[in-house]
Amino acid sequence: MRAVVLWLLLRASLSMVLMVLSGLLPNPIAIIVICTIVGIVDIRRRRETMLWHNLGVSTTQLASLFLLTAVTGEMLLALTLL
Amino acid sequence: MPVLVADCVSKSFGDRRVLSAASLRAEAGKLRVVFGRNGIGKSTLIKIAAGLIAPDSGIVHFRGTSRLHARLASLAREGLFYLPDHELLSSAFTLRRQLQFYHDRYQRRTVDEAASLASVAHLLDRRPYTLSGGELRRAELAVVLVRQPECLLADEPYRGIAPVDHDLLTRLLRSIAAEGCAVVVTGHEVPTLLDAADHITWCTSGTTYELGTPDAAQTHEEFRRDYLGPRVR
Repeated sequence: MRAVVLWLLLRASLSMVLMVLSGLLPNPIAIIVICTIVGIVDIRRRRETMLWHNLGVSTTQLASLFLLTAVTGEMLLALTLL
Repeated sequence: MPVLVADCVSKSFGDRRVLSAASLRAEAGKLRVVFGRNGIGKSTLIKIAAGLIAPDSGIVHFRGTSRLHARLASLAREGLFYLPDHELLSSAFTLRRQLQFYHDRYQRRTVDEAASLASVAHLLDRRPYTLSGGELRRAELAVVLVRQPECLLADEPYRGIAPVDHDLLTRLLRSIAAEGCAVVVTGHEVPTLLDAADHITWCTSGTTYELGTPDAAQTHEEFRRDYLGPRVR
């Protein structure tokens, strides 16, 4: 759920900023990369690393979760806009 | 056979060599205490054993499998639990939710049973940042009780806890060991930990010494002189 909210917020805010500044939409690849990085940084900021690691979830798996959510979101968005 | 062995471990941070040939063992049903002065490398040794820090040399064996590059997440799936000196619980979720995460993941003890054993049943719907130091430690041990690990590595669990809560914490750690868990604890609360321990390990000068039972440890001249000091017993 957190990954979905993060993707929605990033997608909406970056799209708005770039539209205002350059009239372009952000590159989906950039959105996916930013989502993954911000997701991991957010886990660290919330100091949840130990919680997830003790649950057997590695940083790579957490990153994959944010990445897959962003990829799915971008694909759905692309299909909707087609 | 020990559940966990960190064997002949060395670690440097920049030019500073913290550990040169240290070892750590954890045996099922036993509570081992690692003593040592501040900054001597106890926490580093525990973190290496838990797969949080990669050693410069040495190897970690967990449940009979050797690992050159142990990682906490994979060790945790096999039964290890690392209790850090702070920040085990997230402030984003209530205690009940976090205990439920562990129950759903590992299907061991129920949330209510663990909360009752750790005397945190009345705190289940609160978020960790609203708890006092003692309540937080009990809540963290409730997580361990839900998880029922094969091996628990607890880094300074008594730190910042009022003496009145020491007994409850000791009872919980002893009950976790009595269930067959291999427990390793670090700390400086000498009287409390000497009473709780089955075995003492002394970490000093980059290495570790197995001192045996608490009674045997107290007869170790160097340990008495360099760590315990003259006031203990």
